[in-house]
Amino acid sequence: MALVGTTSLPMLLDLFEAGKLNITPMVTHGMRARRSDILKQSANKEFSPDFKFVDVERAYEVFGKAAETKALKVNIEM
Amino acid sequence: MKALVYNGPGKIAVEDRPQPKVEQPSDAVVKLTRTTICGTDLHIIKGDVPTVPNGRVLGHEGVGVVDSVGPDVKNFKKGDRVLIACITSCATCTFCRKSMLEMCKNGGWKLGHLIDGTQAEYVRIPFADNCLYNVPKGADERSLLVLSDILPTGLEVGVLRGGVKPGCTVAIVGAGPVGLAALCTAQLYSPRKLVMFDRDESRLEVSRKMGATHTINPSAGQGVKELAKEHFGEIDGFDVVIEAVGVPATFEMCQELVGAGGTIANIGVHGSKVDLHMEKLWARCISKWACCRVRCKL
Repeated sequence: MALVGTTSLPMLLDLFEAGKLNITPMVTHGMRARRSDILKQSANKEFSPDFKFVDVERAYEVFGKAAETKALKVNIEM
Repeated sequence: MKALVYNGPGKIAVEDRPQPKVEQPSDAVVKLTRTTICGTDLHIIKGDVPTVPNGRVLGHEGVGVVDSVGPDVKNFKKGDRVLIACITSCATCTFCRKSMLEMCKNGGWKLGHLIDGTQAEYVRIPFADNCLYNVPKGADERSLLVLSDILPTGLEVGVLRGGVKPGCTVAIVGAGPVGLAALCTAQLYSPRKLVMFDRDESRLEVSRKMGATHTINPSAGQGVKELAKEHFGEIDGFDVVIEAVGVPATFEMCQELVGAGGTIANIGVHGSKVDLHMEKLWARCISKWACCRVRCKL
């Protein structure tokens, strides 16, 4: 049995800083660069550019219904 | 402060809670700027993780600003922007000294589980020197959030335990956040094929944007072996198969996809028992079992 250990974090941070990790497509809710995409798709109002913390319960709903909302990683701003 | 509190299966609410304070000399208190939700949080809310008591603030991922530090904290000071690691580790116990931070005798998965977590305005971080990381200057903190948990998970439990190597073939079953994290980090090792499996077309589209060489939707009617055959080659399967869902059907699928001498690395959190087809696998010399990320610590 093993959990993630996070021993790889220093290396991942270096790669992140160097722009070597292509991770932006998986942040579906809250990415500045994808706001226009998100708004375009937001006919069903499931998409919002950023969740505020007061909406965290709503964020849970959107994340919990991923098949409907296409949510991957949501971003909650304090 | 406001915090998202678990109040028993099916019940969460934003509540007013006292702001955490430094309790131990190695603690820091971090004011969160961003947090996110993990599949594990959904498991907790379903009641799958009985070690989480009612009243617990959830969340084990986050980015924030150091608000206060205990006298033993040397690497961070008030005002530093930090990324929070999902695993708490003391850096001194036997396990930590073997780089098995997840087994830390004084830590492990604690945040949003055994102590209050990051879905709140403030969080107390034990062993701050070992569990916080400086945010790189100019970093987009929105995407940095995925480094708290899922990126190290995809890399350490999927890619490294699976033994992804230059030129090998990799199948990843499940294109949710953790499967995509494995997809992202597998590319650091230059596999020649990186095939994503998911029933959700939009997730397959994201997979292609993130570098999948091929995508397969197993709901297309044919058996998964038939659908993936063109990628199999001499070993009649993939070198490395990464399970990133955590249900019996996908674990079965992985056993059909693994090639002779290959490896299955399981990342998915399984809520029920699964069958291991030794009667089929024994002769295929499935030499390595990269066993599990068990987030719901036993």
